[in-house]
Formats: sequence, structure tokens, C-alpha cells
Amino acid sequence: MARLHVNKLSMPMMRKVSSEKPMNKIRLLFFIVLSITLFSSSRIFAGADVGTGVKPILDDAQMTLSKAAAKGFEWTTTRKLIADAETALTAGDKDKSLKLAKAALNEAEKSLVQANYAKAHWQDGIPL
Amino acid sequence: MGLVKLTLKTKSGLILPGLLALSCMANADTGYKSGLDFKAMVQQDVRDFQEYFKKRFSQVEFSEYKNGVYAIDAASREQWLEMEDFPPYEFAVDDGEVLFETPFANGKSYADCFANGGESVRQNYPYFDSKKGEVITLELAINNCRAANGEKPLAYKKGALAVLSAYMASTSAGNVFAVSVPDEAAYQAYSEGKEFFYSKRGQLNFSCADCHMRVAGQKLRADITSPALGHPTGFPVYRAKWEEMGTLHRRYAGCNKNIRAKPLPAQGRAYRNLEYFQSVMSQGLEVNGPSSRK
Repeated sequence: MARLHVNKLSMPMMRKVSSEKPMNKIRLLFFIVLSITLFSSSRIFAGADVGTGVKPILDDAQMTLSKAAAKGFEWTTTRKLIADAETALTAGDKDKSLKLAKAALNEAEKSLVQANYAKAHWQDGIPL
Repeated sequence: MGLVKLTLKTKSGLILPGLLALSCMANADTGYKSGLDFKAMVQQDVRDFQEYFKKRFSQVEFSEYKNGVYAIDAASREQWLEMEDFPPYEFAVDDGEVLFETPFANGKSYADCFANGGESVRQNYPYFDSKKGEVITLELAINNCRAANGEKPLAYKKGALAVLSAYMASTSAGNVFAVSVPDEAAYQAYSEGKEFFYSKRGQLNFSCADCHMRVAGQKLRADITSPALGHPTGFPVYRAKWEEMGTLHRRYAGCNKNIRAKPLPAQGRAYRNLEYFQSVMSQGLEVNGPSSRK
């Protein structure tokens, strides 16, 4: 019964695709190489080269923290996370450094979100 | 009149905006903006704020809010009254008096900087200085006085400044807080303080209002939170935790730390505006500083 639903018009095209199999392998290989290249430069995949990957995250955390601090919304814990990440990096503990740097960036981003949210919605906090 | 006629001649949809613009122009120099009456808005805020606590703690007399958490928690009050038999801030008042009366190197003294020789003035602080465009607290005024007389400024959270402030507050005991919002610029400072008070901050995401309005009188860990109404009236205070005197801005910094928000500078714009807002909300209460707290 299922054969009744086969689109016979597409059959020649399928044959054509089948004949281009070697070309598809080349394309697939190209995309794999491209993906690896792109992700290896991303800070998310910084584990591939932790030492160089931590620095951009720390810079980002510091910059985001500065923005939150300028609005008066710095948390007490973030600056210590950055300092600890730098210490770990200097000591050669790259995995620990990466973990701390990511935590610092996460906190800095949340404190900035908090500042912006408070600016727009502080009146919602009036319990009257 | 010509302008009014012109406005009325336009299509009906333009009449209202035209009249509103005229209203604003007419009141431009009387503290009004965009048809808003700042003074009336502030008074409405005061009524709402004080009414909140009257409803929340209906058995508590308004005048009792000058005593902080001891106004609403009987057990804490009992301990506090026992402590008040030998007030721990008494030495600070004596030290403050000595400092207050010690002349500067140029021969002048603190009394030369303040109205009424610096006595019985605590209830007028903080106030908005329209010339400087900023809120002036008592502690800032003390340091401004020192600067004007060639003396180095004192640290803002404790020590000599706290005892000087304690002495000046002691000469004002019983006077009723009379902090007002006189003009548009003052209203801006007041609004910034209000915004700070109601904004959630820190890793714990708490606002001043969360602890001192919503859960006032309830326990946060081992402590019962005080009502925000009357917060500035008893400062500076001798705090058992500090084992010494401290200013209101020292307490603000401690509150911020508790919610894991980085404290802002003592006597910086943000804390001064917060004190301004809180003092306006506490109008009608008596000065009873210095006092003692847990």
C-alpha cells in the first residue's frame, strides 16, 4: 500500500542525487571542518584552548560588571569571582579558571539585567 | 488671551493639548511641571506610606515609630528598655560635645556654621540645597563646615563624625522632623531616593521595601525587621553588633551587604537621596537620636 504513495515524479531526481554521492561526502567534510574552525574560536568551546579562551570571558565579565556598577547594582560576589578566575589562570589551573570566569560573566549579566529591570519596573515594588 | 482663542479655533482634538500646554506655562515657576503638583504628590506619598504602617500595625501609636523595631516587637522592646537604663551612647554624646566645642585652627567652631549655633537643628536635616542642587545631610554639613574652615574631612560611617552627629541630635530630641520637598529639583532628588527604596538589588534581589515594609515585624533569619517608617529618627545609633556608634549611611551599607549588593559610598548622591526620601516619609515623628539598636 505504501508504494502507492511514492511520488514517481521525484524518482529521476533521486537517481540523480544518488549519482552525486561522492560530491556529498566532500560537502559534508567541508562543513565539519568549517564547524570545528568556527566553534574552536568561540568562548563556549574555549575548553579546546582554555588558556586563551578564559581571557575574553573575563574581559566580558569585567565590562558587564562595570556597566552594572555604574548603575549602582553591582553584586558583592562578582568581583571576587573574577579575581579568583585570574588567580587560577595564573596558577595554571585552566579548568577552574574557565569555570569561575563563566560564573562571573553569568553574575555580571544578571546584575545588569536586574539594574535595567529595576529602572523600568521599580514602581511595581510599591506595596501600597 | 490671543493664544487661548487660537487654541479654541483649532479642531476639537487639539483643544485639550493646547489648554494643557497653557497650564504648564502658567505654572512654570511655581513648582509645577506637565500639570503635576510636586508638593501634593509628595504629601500623597507620605499619607500612603504612613497609612500602610497604620493598617499593618494598627495597635502601634504613630509616635512610637521613632523607636524602630522596638515599636512593634514587645520582646525586643523589653530588652531595649533595660539597655536604655544605662544608654550605651551616653559617652558618645559627651565626646561629641567636646569635639563640637573645640575651636578649629582658625579660631572658629562648628557653631559658626549652623543656624542656632548648631543646637536643636537635627529635625531640619537632610534638606535640599537649591543653589548646590543636592541634598545636604547633617553629616555632610559637618564636613562642609570643616572644609570651609580649613580642616580635613572626617570619615562618614563612624568615629568622630558619628559622635558629633550624636551630640547635635541629642540637642534636638523631641523636635518634630520637618523635611520638605520645596521645588522641582528637590522633587527629582526625592524621586531618586524613592526609586532606590523600591528597587530590588543584590544577589538576593531584595529592595528596602521588601524587608522594611512587606515583611516588617517578621523574622529574617534571627532578626525581626524594623518598619521603614521612622528609620532616620534615631540615628546615629550605638549598635550592639558594631560595639560603637555608627551613622545611617553605615547602616545602609550594612543592609546592602546583607542582600549581597555592593554598598554605595557613604554620603554619595544615592544614599543621601535615599535618606531624603526616608526623612520625608517620617515627617511628623520626633527626633530621638542618638539611640541604641541590636
